[in-house]
Amino acid sequence: MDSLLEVKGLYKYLDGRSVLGACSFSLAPGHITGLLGPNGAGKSTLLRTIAGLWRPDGGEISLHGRPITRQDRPKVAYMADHTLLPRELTVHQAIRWYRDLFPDLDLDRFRAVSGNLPEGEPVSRLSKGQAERLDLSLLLARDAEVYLLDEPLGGVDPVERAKILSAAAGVMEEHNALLMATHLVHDIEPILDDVLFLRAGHVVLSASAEELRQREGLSVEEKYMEVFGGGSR
Amino acid sequence: MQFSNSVPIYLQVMEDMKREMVTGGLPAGSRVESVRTLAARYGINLNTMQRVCAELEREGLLETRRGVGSFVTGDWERLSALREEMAQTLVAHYLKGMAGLGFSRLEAAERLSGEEEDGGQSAGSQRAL
Repeated sequence: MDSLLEVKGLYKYLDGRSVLGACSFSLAPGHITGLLGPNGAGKSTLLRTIAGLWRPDGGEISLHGRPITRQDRPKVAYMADHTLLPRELTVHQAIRWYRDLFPDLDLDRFRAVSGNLPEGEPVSRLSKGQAERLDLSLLLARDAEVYLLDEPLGGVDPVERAKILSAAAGVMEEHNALLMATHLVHDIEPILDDVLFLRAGHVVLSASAEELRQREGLSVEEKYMEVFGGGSR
Repeated sequence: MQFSNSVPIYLQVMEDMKREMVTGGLPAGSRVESVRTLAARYGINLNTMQRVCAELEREGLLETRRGVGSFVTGDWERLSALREEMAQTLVAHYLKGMAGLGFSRLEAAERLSGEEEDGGQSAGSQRAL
């Protein structure tokens, strides 16, 4: 399958310490990939480097087979693990503010993921879950090709989270790829096409979720336990 | 729908839709929702749902009419054959389980006829939402 985004031999050092070492993998168009690994494995660093916030110290990132350039950046949408919306704005104003930054915002997509949010409330008064939902919906409403999510919806209860993620999966198009770092393997398992296991800055597994189940009879969660240890869950 | 962990999800969803087809939730000839809607309802990704529909089509249970949508087959024989297949799978599963406990086929059969009408036959009623 043609890859949308390809990462080849990516290296990243932070404070003289190697955080990513020879990371290679690719994201297929139309696929949702889970980036899994213990704390400190380098998940956030990997996402930030792909997003262009950090410069790689080695290796190559390409989009549609060509090295990614500054002009490509709008095609890569990145969501940090904390909100960047001005907290004093109301939800309604925050949406407009975001739309000024990204004029191609698709409001239908936004609403499909956001559901009902209290539009008159200031962002600062939203619950943690609502704020995360707002962030995620805005990001996915952008007309990007690659979406990078760092620990989305950590503050949302499991039932709601499953609902929102399934709505998120629903707005993905065939030319989109989504890569999300998460600890919540169990909850998101049904919406993942592929998984990427990261350990100490190295990709230790890159596989299709259904193939894991079919070939090894293991869920992603079970495979995770097998690879990273930790015994019973 | 709650998924079992280690069986491919597409197989589990296929199983669920087949059960709907033989029990009337998805009647013969009826229109099936779009892949996108189904994916959202099952809480799975689009590609998996696409695979489910493609496989059901391959098995002659779904028919796609270009530009119109997908429909459950109107072929009653196909659907009753499906019901038969599903029953056979259950029976084989039961017999295998009983054999594993050391019961003969005859004993397994006697067990069944001795079973109370409404007792002990909650055949794993997992259904979509």
